[in-house]
Amino acid sequence: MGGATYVVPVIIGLYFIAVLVAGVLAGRGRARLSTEWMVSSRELGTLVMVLLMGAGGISAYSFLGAPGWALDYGIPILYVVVYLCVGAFGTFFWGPRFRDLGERFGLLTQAEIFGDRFESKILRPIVAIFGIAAAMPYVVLQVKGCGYVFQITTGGLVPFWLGALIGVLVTGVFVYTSGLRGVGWANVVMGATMFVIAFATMFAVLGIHYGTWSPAPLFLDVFKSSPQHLTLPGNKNFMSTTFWSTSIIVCSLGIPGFLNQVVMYLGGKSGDVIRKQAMLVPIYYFIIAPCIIIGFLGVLKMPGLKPSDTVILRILMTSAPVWMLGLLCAGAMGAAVSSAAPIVQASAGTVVHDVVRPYYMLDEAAHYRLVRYMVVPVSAVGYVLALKDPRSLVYILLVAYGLLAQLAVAYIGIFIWPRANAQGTLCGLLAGFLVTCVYTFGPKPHPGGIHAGIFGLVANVILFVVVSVFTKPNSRSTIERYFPDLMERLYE
Amino acid sequence: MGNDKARMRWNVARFPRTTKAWVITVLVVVACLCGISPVIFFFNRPLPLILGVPPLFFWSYAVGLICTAVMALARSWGVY
Repeated sequence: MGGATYVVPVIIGLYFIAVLVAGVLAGRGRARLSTEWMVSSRELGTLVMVLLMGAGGISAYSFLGAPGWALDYGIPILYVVVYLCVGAFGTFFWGPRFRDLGERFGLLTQAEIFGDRFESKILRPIVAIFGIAAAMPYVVLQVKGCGYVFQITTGGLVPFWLGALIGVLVTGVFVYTSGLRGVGWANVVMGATMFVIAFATMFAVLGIHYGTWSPAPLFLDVFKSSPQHLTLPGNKNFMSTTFWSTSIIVCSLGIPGFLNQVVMYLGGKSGDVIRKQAMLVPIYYFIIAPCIIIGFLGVLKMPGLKPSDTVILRILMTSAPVWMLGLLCAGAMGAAVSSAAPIVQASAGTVVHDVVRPYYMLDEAAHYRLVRYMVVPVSAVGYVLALKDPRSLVYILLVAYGLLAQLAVAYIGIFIWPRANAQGTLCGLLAGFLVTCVYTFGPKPHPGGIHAGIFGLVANVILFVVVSVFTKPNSRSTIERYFPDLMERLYE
Repeated sequence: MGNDKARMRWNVARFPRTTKAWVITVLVVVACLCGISPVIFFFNRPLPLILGVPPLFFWSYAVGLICTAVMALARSWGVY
């Protein structure tokens, strides 16, 4: 423990220096333009895109929380792996289309695309605020993850507030200097090291406890002591098969709904780069397996540990060399920063581009300056919320994927169904939002074991179609820009 | 533009046009069902271990690889 007090912060410090160098250098010599900062001049290649999405999808919650879930409930945690992989289909299908629109019409954000396609000045800021509100709790979680890692591993020498502040500052620096390109290259460093660290830690821990790299003896021991951890519904009847299935549907539909995902699509070098990214990223998600396996070791070594999220740290603190604990903490910090940075970057850009700019004339130079300055207040909000930890955040986290999945219906209007319009989209989103909230927080949450987001989707689709059909369609010029291939059949 | 509503058909949309596109569409649905359908009941048992992990653990990652394979096929066919 004494060694950990100093060794862990030093290893994390060196790691953060490497991340900062990668992130800051990525932006050197680049054009000082909004297009460069917000969507990296649409030049990101396959490596950066895979690790931007891969590392971005693996948060501190996955790195530290997934082992905790494995300890508490067992195998149901694997629904995360399935929805991340199935969600890659969303990237494969929507991603190249978003990128194509962005390049053809010079669009920079998810909300701007909504505003342009549906010819609505109201929908644009609503989608912007909706997207930021749904994503911001994830930034808060990452900031909290940074604070906890420092606090626990140094025995309180580095307090929570300081650990969280370090995480925010590191994120803010490379996001501010280099925008999406900096986030991409920082995620290359963090994503690659996280992958190596996760597997190295698992093999080392299994070697220490079982003298083998195989997890088989561990799972046989878990089967003897707590077989319910190895099947659905899991320990304490945590997740029924119905909830497993419906959660995967809702969460996988929600992935392309994150505003930072769309910004990432817009930054891709080509549609095919995004397809390759979607194709390869499920392989990257193997990274969650070693974390979960170490969590299962906790079932045997630390049953009932509270808080369970610390299980992976506790196991290493009690049984592994201190340098290994330092590396794992560096990986956890990388998971936190790599997930927070894309959201901070996309949120800062979206606030200025979709909420401020439509109402205040900004020239290109002012727009470029302001999107970068906005990183400071966005990061500050994440930091303050992490310290205050308001209860409302928990509510937002509970429904975030259910809400973001509602945007998938609107995507149909952008890319597939020309008759969709702003009224239908807005009514559908509102209905989906309300129904999801009612079935999450109402007297009978998730009725029949079905995820509340499914009910929201049904309400959303009905209103989206009915209201669109019975209200005025978008102008022919807009439809022609978005659906040139359908024009011959579309009009009577 | 005022008569747009009267003249635009509501039932026109982009659907897969070619056989290959339909094949990929079906494979995507099958891949998704692998992760959420009763297929998981078959794997929802603690033993025997497959490649050192419980069956559902193995199957969750197999679903990911099935998704990758379907996307690789779609990419090689130039579909989507």
